[in-house]
Amino acid sequence: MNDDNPAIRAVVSKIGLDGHDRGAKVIARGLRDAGMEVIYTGLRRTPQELAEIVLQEDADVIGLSILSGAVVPLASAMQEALAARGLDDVLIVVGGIVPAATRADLAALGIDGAFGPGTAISDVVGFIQGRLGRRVDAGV
Amino acid sequence: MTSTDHHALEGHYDRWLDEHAAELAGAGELSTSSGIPIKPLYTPLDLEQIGWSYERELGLPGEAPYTRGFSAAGYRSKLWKMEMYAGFGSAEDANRRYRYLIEQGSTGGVSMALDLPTQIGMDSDDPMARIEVGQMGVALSSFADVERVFDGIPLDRVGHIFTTANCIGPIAAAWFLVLAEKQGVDTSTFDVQIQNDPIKEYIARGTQFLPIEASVRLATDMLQHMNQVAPNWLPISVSGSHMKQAGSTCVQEAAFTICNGIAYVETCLAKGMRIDDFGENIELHFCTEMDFFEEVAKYRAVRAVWTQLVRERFGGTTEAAQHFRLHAATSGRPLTAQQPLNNISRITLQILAQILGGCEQTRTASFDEALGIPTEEAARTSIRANQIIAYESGVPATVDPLAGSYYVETLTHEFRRLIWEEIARVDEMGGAVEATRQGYFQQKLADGAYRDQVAVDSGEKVIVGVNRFQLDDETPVPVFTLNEDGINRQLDRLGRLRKERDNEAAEASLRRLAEVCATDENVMPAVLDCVRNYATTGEISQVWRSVFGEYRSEMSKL
Amino acid sequence: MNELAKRFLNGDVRALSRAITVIEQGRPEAQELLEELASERPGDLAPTVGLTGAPGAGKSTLTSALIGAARRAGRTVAVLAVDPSSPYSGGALLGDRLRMSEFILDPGVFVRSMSARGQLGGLSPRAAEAVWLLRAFGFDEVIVESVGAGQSEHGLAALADTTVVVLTPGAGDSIQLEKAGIVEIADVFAINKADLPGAEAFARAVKAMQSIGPRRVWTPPVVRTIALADDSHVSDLWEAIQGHREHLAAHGPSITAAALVDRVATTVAEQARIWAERQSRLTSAELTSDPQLLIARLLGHLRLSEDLDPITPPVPEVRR
Repeated sequence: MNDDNPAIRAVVSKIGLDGHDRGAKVIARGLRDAGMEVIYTGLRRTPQELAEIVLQEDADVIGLSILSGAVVPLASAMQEALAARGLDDVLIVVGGIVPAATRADLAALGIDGAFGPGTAISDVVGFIQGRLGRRVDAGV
Repeated sequence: MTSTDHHALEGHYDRWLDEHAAELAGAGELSTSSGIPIKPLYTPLDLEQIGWSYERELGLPGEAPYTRGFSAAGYRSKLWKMEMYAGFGSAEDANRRYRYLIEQGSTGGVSMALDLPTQIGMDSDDPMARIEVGQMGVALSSFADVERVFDGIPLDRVGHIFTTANCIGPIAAAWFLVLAEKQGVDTSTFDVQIQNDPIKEYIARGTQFLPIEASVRLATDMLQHMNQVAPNWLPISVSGSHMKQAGSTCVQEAAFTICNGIAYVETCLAKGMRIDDFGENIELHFCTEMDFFEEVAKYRAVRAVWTQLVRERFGGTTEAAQHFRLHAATSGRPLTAQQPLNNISRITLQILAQILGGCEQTRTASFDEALGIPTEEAARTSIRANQIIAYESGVPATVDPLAGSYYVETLTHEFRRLIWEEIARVDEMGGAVEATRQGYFQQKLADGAYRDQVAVDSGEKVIVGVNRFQLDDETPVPVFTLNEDGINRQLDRLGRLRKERDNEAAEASLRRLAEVCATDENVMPAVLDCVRNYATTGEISQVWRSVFGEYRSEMSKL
Repeated sequence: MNELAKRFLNGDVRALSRAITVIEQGRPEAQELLEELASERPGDLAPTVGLTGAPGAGKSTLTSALIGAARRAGRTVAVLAVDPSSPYSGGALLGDRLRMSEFILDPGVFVRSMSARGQLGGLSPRAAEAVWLLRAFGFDEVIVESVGAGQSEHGLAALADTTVVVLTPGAGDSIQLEKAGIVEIADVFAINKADLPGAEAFARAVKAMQSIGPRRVWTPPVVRTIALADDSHVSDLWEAIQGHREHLAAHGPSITAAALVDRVATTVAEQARIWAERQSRLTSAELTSDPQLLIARLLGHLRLSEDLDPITPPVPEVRR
């Protein structure tokens, strides 16, 4: 990272009660290897806690791993929590089980970064860098 | 092999390597999914090199080291058990299914999935639980919910009940004991199996809510109590499958599971139990993925290592003590949503590996697993796969048919060696509990998962239909609907229970539980009392949290 | 005055968070921001505790326990948690927060994770400025927790009023004690995981070592801690820190500005010497004319050679 291309700061977290964190940890490492600074916050974080973390860490993006069926309610709750802290400009990315109907619901909320099983790390990285207007080549 | 023969073979082999050097090199270097290098060819020379001896490595089935299996006639006399996992949402669904099975005359048994709040020691009305009540399983906030599930169902006709209660193991055990009490049914007339393996929760599954030592104390208290009052029940299933699905290699799956098993057993021994009394009630549970010969080697090696531990480390003196339950479930992880019929082939290979590994208890996934709750047709197809192997293939006709294969024996031996190495390493860290606290296992899992992802993304690891041999059509993905009605009904019932039960009795029993927890006494009698008095899952768990403390991550590795 | 500075001085936490980013990223407005804040800021800078030690010593858990102690004493706390960055990608996996989860919603606690960015000395000049921001914002206490990798402890010692060096019994005892400068920079020793066998013997060894060196005005107390199990041990550590503060108040800082400059220069020279010695360890592909990159890569080699936190390379080591 250098001053012309500062590192993207990303919070990666599980939200809700589900405790399977394989995907979240893989994405955390993947974003790290793409040059991002990743704040990994573990299991069972509430939307309020995550909003507070995003604020303190001045994160550009928050990645939520949601493997239960409650993708839309949780993503929506996250959005509200961020808005309540004045953090509407933070990018929300969701990973989990996202069939077409869920994607549509998320898009209606303004969340179009939704990644299901079989997603390659580069897909997520490309999406985030694209949205945040950063160069794809994130060399040191 | 005589030394003349050996010398001759060595010469031939060297000559052969030279002659075919280009062809052999062309395929590149290959290794198992655990990273063990795979040679193009295995011969008696490989067995010689590891000092392999039939007596030491294999022996005879039903005798130490048990590599070839626990019974002399193997599947000839008794086929492997074929369980099918069927989870339920609401208590009503579960009740209906049990009644149906009893009507059909079945005693095959069913599994009862619990919702996440229940597994994490939360009641349905806990603020953190709201949208997840009753979603991935039944919400059991109190004994009243349990009674509802089994309403009108005689327990002695139900066969085998399995539930993945882990950190709430003692509570789940209490439910079934009290249910049997109330129905006046003897515990020997049906089977209850509770997963009761909290250590792996901290490592791979995430339902922990207490400090790890407290969880181990509770789990082993339950084990000890069950051994006395319901010795035919299965109070623990030390699980590797979740760890492998979270990213461990096959070797690590075997080794870490065994290390966790050592922690539980040694805690029990410290309480004065003897392995001769409970060794055969221990289940070690694994999943079978796609590296065929690795899985075969793994099951053979696990038998050899664990039985050796029973004899040499735990003080076991009987055959029964060594005859643990080796349970293998085909893993749903390799099953794809793309071209789901391909999964039938995958499942068949997985089942075959389990059988050639000599597993006595198995579970089989369904080909549409990645799409949601399996259809009846898919479930039936999986049962048929088992039956085709059992009745049409001839495979079960002889015990451990792959024995003697130069490759399989080399691999089995290597698995044993690597497992013992890992046991020593974890021992040096202070045991599985300490290793878990430091995050050692977790980091291995995360590293493995990352390696795997990079390999799939780059195409180095092929998944047919996903990154090679794809079709253009849209991949069907499961749909999930939130059951708002169910949640509200449950909240209603819980609210009423809190008012209508004898609150003084409930509170008194919770206070008593708190007292017992602060001592070394077995907590089960106190837990039973709480359950009888309709203290809730959350209330009992809260007593634990206040006496033992809340779970806090101490990992120094990520 | 610029908007951000105004909000910062009004106690807007988001402004603090943004200001740290501005400084960390070396944005053009950084200098002006610092100057405005420095001129308008009311009151003294908050006292700062630095926590350093080898990876796995339990620094984060101890930091969390200290936060608890501070809160119980009615003090607000800001924490800067520094983790190593990947020398390959420049990215970082920052996980120290995991151990401080119970304080996320406590309005009296602020936690910021920072990547060390392979900087010489583990803490960059910008990190120092970020610490200054935390101290100036109005928290009662500031804790800086940093990766302890050889020479980097000096950087932290320069920043903090009280440096706590965290050691663990058994984890290569002699190596820890001999590591250049550890004994020098400590104002307090915390022997963590003190429930492990050998803790008492180790504590005595540390005290013995202190009596060997030159006589100092302040003898760093050796405190045994079991961070989570026992609150009383953490209060011992808290007491020791307060004790050092009283000493500072009475005798002034243990090091003058000039000596501090000297010490930093020595650190830099030390790094350069090590670099020269180990230059041959870099492959030709890694040699580059970019000095920061070169040093980052060297630090990566140093960490690997000292058997410290393994850094996962972007290309996996699939065994073939």
